[in-house]
Amino acid sequence: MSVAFKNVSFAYGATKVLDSVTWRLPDQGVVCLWGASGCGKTTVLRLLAGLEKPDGGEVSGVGRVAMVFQEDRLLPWRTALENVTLTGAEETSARVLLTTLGLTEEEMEAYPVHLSGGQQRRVALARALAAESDILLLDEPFNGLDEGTWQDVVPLIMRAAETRPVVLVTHIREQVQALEAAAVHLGDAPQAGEWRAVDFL
Amino acid sequence: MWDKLRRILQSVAVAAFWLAVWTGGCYLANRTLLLPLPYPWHVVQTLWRLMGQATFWSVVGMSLLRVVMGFALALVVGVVLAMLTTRFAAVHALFAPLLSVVRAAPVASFIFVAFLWIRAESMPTFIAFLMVVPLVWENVRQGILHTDPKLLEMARVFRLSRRDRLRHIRLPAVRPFLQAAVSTGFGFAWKAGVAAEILCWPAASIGYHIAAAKNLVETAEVFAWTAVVVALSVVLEWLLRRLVNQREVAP
Repeated sequence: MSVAFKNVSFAYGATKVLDSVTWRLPDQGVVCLWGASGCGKTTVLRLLAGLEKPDGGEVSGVGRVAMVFQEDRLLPWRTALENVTLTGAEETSARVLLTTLGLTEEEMEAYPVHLSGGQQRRVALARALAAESDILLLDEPFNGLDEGTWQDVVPLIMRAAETRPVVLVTHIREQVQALEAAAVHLGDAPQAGEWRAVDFL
Repeated sequence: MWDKLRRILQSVAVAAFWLAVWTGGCYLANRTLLLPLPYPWHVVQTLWRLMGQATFWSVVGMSLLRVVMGFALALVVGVVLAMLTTRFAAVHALFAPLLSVVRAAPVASFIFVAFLWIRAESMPTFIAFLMVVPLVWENVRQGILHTDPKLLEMARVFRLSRRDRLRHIRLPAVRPFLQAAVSTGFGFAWKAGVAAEILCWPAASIGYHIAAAKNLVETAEVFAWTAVVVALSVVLEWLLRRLVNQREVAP
């Protein structure tokens, strides 16, 4: 069953963010939510992740979620590796993933506080990629990564997108293009009506 | 190397200074005020004599046991209360005033009030318990309240089990708060427990011996027993701190 929004409405207090939005996500591939800050992109991710309940309408077909939040949200008292295996991922596959993302064996055994910002971000990415999921949510996933590094992550996300929908929030054009993402263009909040993902260009 | 030697010399100098002040004070007091203030060597002699007595270690052991029991019970009750009061607002509304009163009221008042119902032998346990419960409760409560909600959200999204959440997020977050409560709480419990002994005279207790010595104006013995209390407090707090501070993480 595909993931879908059906007449979803949502407000933070008096501020309406979504006003009866209908949206059917593709079963695979990357969809980018594109729009100015405050238009409700993160709210859509939170609704998909089950962290917010819609005021009206229904979010359906989501299943198991893996997510990269705007912040890394790593456990400070667990090593990089333990942060990845936390979600039930096998240690060997977690190691392979972290190696692919450029962490050394030593860095895998280090606590987040001893890693650079970019390394912590890669651990957060590894955690989401290693977890078994039916949908992958990425909220500005390349924040804090250098030019060279974020491109290394692209093939991993593309591979995940072969078997599940990936929803991406970013402000950076090249990232949308590199991920060959379709885009939903959002205007100012509140969002309304039926959404359609179109080619980004 | 030199640094260490300097620190040792400094400690010796400080100790020597205060021993000199003590001795000088005794000399003056005993000459001018007819106050029976014991010289340091009298206290050491007395302590040595006491330690040779067959009952000494059992007295110390019993005092410790009573306080440790109250302390352990307070840890359990404090943690459970913290969990309940953070989970249920109504429980918090009910218990918060009580715990504030317990924390603010003087120990001696509790001892006198409780003396009507509680046997002297149980009093140190009860008082130690009473002193530590609010401390553990408040600390653990703060720990629970300060658990990063963003980490809990992350756990929700990734569907971590209740057990994993407890093990990987809840407990590590509360841990430093509990550690603080344990290392300061034991000192409280110990001092309050001995105070209860001094006022209630349970058999085989340090407090009983302090009170008895005081009534006989055996000041050297009062000092010696007090030295035992202080020494145990220092040693046990050090032990406890080492025990609870075996952290699994650097930060």
